[in-house]
Amino acid sequence: MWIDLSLPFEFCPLPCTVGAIIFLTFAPHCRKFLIMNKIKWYFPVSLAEARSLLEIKNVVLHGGGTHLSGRELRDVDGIICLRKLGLDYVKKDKDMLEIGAMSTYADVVNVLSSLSPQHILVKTLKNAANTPCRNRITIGGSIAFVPSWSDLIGALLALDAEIVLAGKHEGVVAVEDYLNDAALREQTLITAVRVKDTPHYSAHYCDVKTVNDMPLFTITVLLELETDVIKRAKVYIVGTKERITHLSELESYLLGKKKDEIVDAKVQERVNVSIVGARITDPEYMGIKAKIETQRAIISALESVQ
Amino acid sequence: MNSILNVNGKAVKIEFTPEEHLLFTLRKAGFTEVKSGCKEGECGACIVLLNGKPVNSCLMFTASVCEDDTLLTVKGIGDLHEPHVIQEAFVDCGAVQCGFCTPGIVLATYALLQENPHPTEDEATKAMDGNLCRCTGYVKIVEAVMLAAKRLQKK
Amino acid sequence: MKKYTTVGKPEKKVDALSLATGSAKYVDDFEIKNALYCKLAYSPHAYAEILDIDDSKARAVEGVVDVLHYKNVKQILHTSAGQGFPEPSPYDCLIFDTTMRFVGDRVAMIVAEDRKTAHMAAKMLEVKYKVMEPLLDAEKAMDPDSPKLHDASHAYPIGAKYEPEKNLAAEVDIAFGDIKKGEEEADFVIDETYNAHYGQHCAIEPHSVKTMFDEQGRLVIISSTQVPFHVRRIVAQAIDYPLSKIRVIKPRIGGGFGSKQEVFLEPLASLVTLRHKRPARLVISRAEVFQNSRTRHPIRVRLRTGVKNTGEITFLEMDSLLNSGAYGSHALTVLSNCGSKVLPLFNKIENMHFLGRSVYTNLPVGGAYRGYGATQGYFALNQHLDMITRRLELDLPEYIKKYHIQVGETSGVFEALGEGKDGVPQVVNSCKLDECIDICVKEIDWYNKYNKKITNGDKVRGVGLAVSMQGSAIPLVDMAAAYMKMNEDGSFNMNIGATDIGTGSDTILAQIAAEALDIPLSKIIVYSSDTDRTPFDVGAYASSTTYLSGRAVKKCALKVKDQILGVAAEMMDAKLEDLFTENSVVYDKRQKISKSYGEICCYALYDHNQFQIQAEASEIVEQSPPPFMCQAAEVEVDTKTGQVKVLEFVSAVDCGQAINPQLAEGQVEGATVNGIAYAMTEEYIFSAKGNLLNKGFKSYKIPTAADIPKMKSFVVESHEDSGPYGAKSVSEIGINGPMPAIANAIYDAVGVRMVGAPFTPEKVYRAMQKQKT
Repeated sequence: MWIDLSLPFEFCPLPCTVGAIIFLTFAPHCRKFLIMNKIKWYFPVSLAEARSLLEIKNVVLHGGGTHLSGRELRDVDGIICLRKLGLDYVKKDKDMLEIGAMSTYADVVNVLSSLSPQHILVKTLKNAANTPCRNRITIGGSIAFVPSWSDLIGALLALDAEIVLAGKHEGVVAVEDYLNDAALREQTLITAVRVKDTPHYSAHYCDVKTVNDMPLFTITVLLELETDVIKRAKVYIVGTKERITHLSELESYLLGKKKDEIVDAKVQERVNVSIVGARITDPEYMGIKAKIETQRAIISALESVQ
Repeated sequence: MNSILNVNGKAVKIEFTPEEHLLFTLRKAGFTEVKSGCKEGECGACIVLLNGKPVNSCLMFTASVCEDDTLLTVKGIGDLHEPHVIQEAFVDCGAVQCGFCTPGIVLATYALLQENPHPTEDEATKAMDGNLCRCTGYVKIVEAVMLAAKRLQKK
Repeated sequence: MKKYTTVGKPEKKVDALSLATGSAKYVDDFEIKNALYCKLAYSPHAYAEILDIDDSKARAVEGVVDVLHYKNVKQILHTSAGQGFPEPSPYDCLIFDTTMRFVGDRVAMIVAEDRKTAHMAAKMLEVKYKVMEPLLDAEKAMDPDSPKLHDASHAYPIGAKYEPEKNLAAEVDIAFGDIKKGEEEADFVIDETYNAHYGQHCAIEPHSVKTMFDEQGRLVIISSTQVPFHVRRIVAQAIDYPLSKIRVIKPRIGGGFGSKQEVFLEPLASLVTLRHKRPARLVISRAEVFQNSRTRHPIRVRLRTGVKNTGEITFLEMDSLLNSGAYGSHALTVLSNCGSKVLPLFNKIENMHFLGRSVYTNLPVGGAYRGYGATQGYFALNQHLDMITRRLELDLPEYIKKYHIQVGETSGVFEALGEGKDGVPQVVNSCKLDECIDICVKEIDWYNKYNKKITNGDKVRGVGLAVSMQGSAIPLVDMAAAYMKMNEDGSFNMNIGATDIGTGSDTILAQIAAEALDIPLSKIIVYSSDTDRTPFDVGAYASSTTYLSGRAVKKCALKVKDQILGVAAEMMDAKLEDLFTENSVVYDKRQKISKSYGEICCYALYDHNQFQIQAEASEIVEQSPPPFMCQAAEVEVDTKTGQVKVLEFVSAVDCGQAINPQLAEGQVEGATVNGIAYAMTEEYIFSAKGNLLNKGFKSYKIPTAADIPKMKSFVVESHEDSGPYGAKSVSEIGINGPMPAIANAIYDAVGVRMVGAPFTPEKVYRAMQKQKT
């Protein structure tokens, strides 16, 4: 493993009382190290095979490996690689898109750029992470792990996405339900995500220091209009204390309004989030910034109307 | 575990542990042109082309690479005796200082120009958003990418 | 002026193709069989005493070969600063100490057969600590009730002022003129305090070392170092091993910027090889580079200036407090440079006082970093100049031109302040700073933008400017040497101690030799930085290589040329004064005959009066001619969020004759982008207990190609008579201007004075809020 283990203090959760004599021991962790099982890799070629493999104890799923390869695999006995299941596809069927779970961010951007260039997923995924990572990060993996800097999840929520599952919890669930129910991950794999491909206007704001930064937070705005009037509005901020904040009060305010009827201050007063994270030195400021950038994202989405 | 990888057009027999990363396997197998800079997918020094696309070999398990996958390192596109146009352009433009990031950036350029032979400067910098260079300030790297594109066009 | 044939040409870097094709080898690319894997274990506490280490469980792990710590490693005080001897840094560190002085101080090193075993065993070390209240604020370091981090057994080998009872790692106090008089003459005083923060070099290659015995039982150290000869000396000292039995080899290096002027890994790996008679490999992780290697010293600079209404500065007082971190590596010299590389630039100030103090804290250790104190000092000075000219409504570019040091002038600071001792008096022989300023003013469109607050919605633009100087080598301290010999085809081996860490010094030194010998660059075969096979050179630091090593190379090449001419005269029965050379041929203008270099060498080797045409030369320098630079930034500030975007950045440098303009530009561009990033995004974030929270590229952000502003760099050539073919240095200076230029531009846009960096949106926003109230 190339996981960095140079940080012994991460393994000493004892309180550091000043002046006290502390005896550090790492023995409880080490036992596991010493008897670590050899990890077995599985490459199922059919969903049926994958379903049965999911029943093995202590297995994890491998999509592109970007998340898993940075993790310690101490308790893992097996890795099921999903690459041979044919899940790397993007299909369009009328007003719906179905994206195979093994499609990478780069795949989705490539296909949608010609299929549906205005789609919010193009906006959110084309700048996520960096080029080599976009060639590996899969849609399925991103939904399963949902980091706080997720560029994807706000858009999926705004699109009322459905997650197609195989295994113990076979079936189709709303993305919101999937996120709220950890049990759905048990012995279950994501095979695809289905999203609407109806006309919409959108904006995606990432709070980053450099282009390849993991955002401190992201704002996703998706609007549907009928004769300039907002008929459907979805606004999500990811990276908040609750991880994901759905700004439903703001959405209600926006509904039925035209662009010039929207008052900046009224938008901002409906954005009350606390952004959290180890790198944040001024949380209050981040809350203020979220207000301003949300208001701007709404305007930007409306200005994308041709 | 045992496997055969297709690296730079040659079959390479490798032995690796289940949780081993491709970067480590490749370096162990003598492909030391694949550099280790951060092991967290940020610096791009370890970039290889997997089926033509740049990926961070530090974020990939060797086990996840299959026998029908092709891998390309910077030595696979050109060597000292027969350098690739891109490598020459990097030399000509002064885009190589310490050179540690260069294999990754040359490969990112190679992948870009395969897909988009006439990139704008913005497209070029975007294609390198996974590569860090601390020496050059990138100015001459971007010049090199544009020069390579121009020279390849003439060929 | 003579037209050069090789100097001044954008010759291709001699190692570039091997780097671009991946065949060049860095330390970790050498396959050394049977090497032991070394893994350091670090203190989780900022300040603690190790009461006991029990390594029995770690040793019991199969595959663990050794565990090194204070109980089994000889304790020899030394400094890790890779400087000349005796070092101007305190001897305050041991290979393994019982006092842990920062989170990341080393506790032990596991030596194992492989990586996995070593990492596993590192977790089985049982360490009993007495945890103490850490000292995390440099301002409190000298308080009587602060913990004292070092004791009286630590001291400078050069005998500099050192008061561990006050946590004082270094002090510099120089003054000339009369501050009181200056105060009386002033119409007003500007007094401001600036904070330059921690920074990390971020060379993409982490620090790496491999050690082994050669077939004769000598210890070979392959190291990613900027200072191979200092490595040899310090390793010999720190592990008490004969210097004659050590050979240090520097292969290709993946960037340094000062970070690899530090000898902190080589002694460890060497110990392993000595103890186990086996090769050892010690390559640290990116997190370790951030936390456990070295950093840019944070310096708090208080600047007080008295100003007349005419703009004349009547006095200047600089009070610098340098946070040295846990150890005093470079604590004295970086501190000195904060004054010595900054204050001479405005040499018309008659009354000056520089008080510098370096203090210990329980934070990461500072060290050499491109700019070396000047960066921190110029952050203060350039903002101060902006404040003075704004207050008096003077034109900043013209103001600087009026008061900066000129050709033929000197500054008392040169003599008063050196590297850990008195300086050396010197007169400026070359300075084209005015031209540099003019270029920046024109390119940034200064007069159409300055004070114009060009506004677009919530966004306002501003421009800012900064000037700086650096030095070229340390006068009367640094020494470099070169050796050359001639081959039958008219090629030359050039063996030099100078250390190319990606800077291109192998190339420019070869260009200098080629120029002196009148041959194409391709005829020079460069071999550098091997303590067994190349002569001494201090290494890559203090902006010394082009100027100092370049002079040694030129001197050496001219000696070789004299021999070539002597042989040619013999061969052609000619008089020396009738001979001249052109492109590898010696011509006799009287007889109109010629001999090629190849023929001359063959004659010398095989024909008559045989000898090897060869020479060596050493150089020290009496002065350190400063390069000069002007840099200008245009920024756009979001007045709602405080977000600052650097739109354009212009740099113009006077580095004397650029030996290789393309490489000189590369140095300017690299330093500038590093400086912009230091100003905008780079910072160390600590927990309340002194634990570094962002040790990696995921959270310590440096720019990608897609992040840089529009960049323009200009090399303004001057001629420095004392330099090789007129050259001065260029590598460090470019990092000094970005932070103050951007700060001045932010002020120009939104009227807030950013005295602390990086200029994150929250900081700028808060500054704007404060200004409103």
